Amino acid sequence: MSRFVYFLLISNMIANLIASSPRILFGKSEEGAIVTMIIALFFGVFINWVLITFFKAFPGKSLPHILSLYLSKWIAIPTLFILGIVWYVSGMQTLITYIDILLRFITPEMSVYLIIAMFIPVITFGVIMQSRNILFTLELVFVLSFPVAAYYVVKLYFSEQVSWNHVAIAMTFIDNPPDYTVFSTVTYLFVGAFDIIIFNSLLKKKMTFGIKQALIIFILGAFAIFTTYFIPIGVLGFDQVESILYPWILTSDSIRMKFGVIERVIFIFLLLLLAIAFLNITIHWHVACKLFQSAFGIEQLKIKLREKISLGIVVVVFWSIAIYTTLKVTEYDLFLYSKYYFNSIPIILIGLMVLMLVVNRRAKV
Amino acid sequence: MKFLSLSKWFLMVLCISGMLIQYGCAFKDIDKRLFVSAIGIDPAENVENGYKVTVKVALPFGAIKDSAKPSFAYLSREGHSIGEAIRMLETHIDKVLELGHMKTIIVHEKLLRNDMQTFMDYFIRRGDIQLISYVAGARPSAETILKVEPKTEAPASVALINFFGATANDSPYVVTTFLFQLRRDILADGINPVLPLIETNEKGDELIVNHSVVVDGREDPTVLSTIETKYFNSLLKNSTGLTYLVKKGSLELLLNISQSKMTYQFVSREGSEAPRAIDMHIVMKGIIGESNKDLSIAKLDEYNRLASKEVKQKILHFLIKMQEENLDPFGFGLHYRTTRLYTEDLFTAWQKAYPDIEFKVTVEVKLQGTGTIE
Repeated sequence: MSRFVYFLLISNMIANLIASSPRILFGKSEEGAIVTMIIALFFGVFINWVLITFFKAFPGKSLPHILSLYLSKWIAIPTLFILGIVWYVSGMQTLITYIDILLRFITPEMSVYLIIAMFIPVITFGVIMQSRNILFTLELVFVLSFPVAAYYVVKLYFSEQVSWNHVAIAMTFIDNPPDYTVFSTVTYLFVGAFDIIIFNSLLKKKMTFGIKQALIIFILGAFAIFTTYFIPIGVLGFDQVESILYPWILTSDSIRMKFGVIERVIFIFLLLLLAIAFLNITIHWHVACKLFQSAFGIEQLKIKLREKISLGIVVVVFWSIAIYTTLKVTEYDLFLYSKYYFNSIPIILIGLMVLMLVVNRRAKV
Repeated sequence: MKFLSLSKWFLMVLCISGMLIQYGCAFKDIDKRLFVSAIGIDPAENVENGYKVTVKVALPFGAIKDSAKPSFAYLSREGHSIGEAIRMLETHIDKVLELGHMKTIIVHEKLLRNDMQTFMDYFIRRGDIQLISYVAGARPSAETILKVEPKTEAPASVALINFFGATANDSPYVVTTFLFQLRRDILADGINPVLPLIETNEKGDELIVNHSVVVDGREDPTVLSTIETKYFNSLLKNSTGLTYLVKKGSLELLLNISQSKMTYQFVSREGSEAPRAIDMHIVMKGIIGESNKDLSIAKLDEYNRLASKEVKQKILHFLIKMQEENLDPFGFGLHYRTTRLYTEDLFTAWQKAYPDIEFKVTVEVKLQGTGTIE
């Protein structure tokens, strides 16, 4: 498996820390969160296995390309369109959450328009970059932020501020029946690798998915789930943790570096998050952009200029919707809509996997 | 090719025009701000059910060399709520009150009740206040404590901060409670938060922190004595630098404990889930720091036995006192909740059982030596 697939997977897991997913999990902490997380962990590895096994047969081809080869237009275009919306919303969710956090914690006195204005050029530039460059950016940001992230994680686990009693209390709810919302939220942690439906056109080498790869994803996933769910509970306490809007921000604010240059770890965390959120939005919107382009047949256009203009139109539409939504949405709406979005994820994934199965059969014949 | 460069031009203009909007930046300059270093909360005298908020504002000066002493300004205001009082305080000064560097919240002793979350809410809800700021009780009032300027206070520092968090003062008599910890313990079932209590001497030029307060629902919160505070710290927080005085006949030993560890288990009643006793095991390691007689290094075992017996008695006394008051600063109830799978009446069963629970304490003192002399 290409290293970029792991990067995509990890970036999605980290970006989810800030989004609504921890809150959804805490809301169900007494209604079967633990059991469901274990089930979803296995399901997450399974969907990654399906994905990689499917793309193994088509090295260097993206999903739009494969669909156009083996399926009728009437199925391919709606599929690409729906996937485009899913990816677009995913990026937008991160964007809104991050703007919200900036407003509340870093620059409370700044106008929301100014903050959006700062995001626009950077992310637009990211989205219209070539796919290859995006992967390299991803790698670069990972290399740069890895030392800080590693320090942060070690700090979290060994900090005396974490009360393991509260973590243990959360675990005593293991015998509750599973819950669908938790299942879909945790599944969403694992969909990072699905970005290769576009990026696969750059991954020319044949991928393998054996026990080793499955194990790596399993361990990564288990670690991500454990950290996302249990560390905030350890710091903020089990009782009434569901009432906290930004569990991870408050958690990082509660950890201190006794003799550090700055005492508040939260600033490291926010910087790290800014990098990852930027990546996440860029990648998701880039994928969405490509999907829409194929859905509307822009890829087939011969003239360069028209291709660029259509790209411009896509980006303008992206931003108009994003700005409108960011200004309109309240924190409660964001939470509610995220929940609907997460709930739809497993269904869409299963649909996509069925489609892959069909394509695979046709390709073999 | 030509279009590409055009698009790059477009992007550049976009970026630069973004800078143009930043006419003065949304931040206000540092000399337009006043940094609050500590905040004190008292019951209001004139407003019913209100609070009196006092802020300790650090005044800027040019260079540390120029000023021998730190200089502070104090502002007070009464209001129905903390937020309202602070908003009104902002009308008393010419600058912006900046709470992001505020590190100590001092609360009047009488306000340390369980309903304190109603006013602590303000501090947690505001994003810019650090959750790692310290919370402490004050006697006789938060305002008096805030206005104490100890002689040992260096320029550009606040004495109230150095007491806590084990960065400067690491005494076993000082309990440190962070804001997030206070919130966690108040909301959790099965533990009572413990806050340090700051006092001052008669002249009002020293800060003294060696008592602590157990926060509970009652009007008059229970204050732990100096000795009890030390036990609490040593058993729960594994703080170092402890001393224990052991007396046996005419022999008096002062033990310097460098390590202490407490482990305990619940012993269930026969045939039912409810706990009957707590089986507690405490290990302490240290050396003899002071003695009124000559000691023999060969007799360390005997001193161990002696010390164990004494320490056990004192700890048992403390545990039973807390039990009689129905307080649980150690979080036994919280730990009990972790040992069983969740059922709805789990915690009520514990609450019923706690007043009659039996403590079985074994203390093992392991002395490493008699210091540098025998």
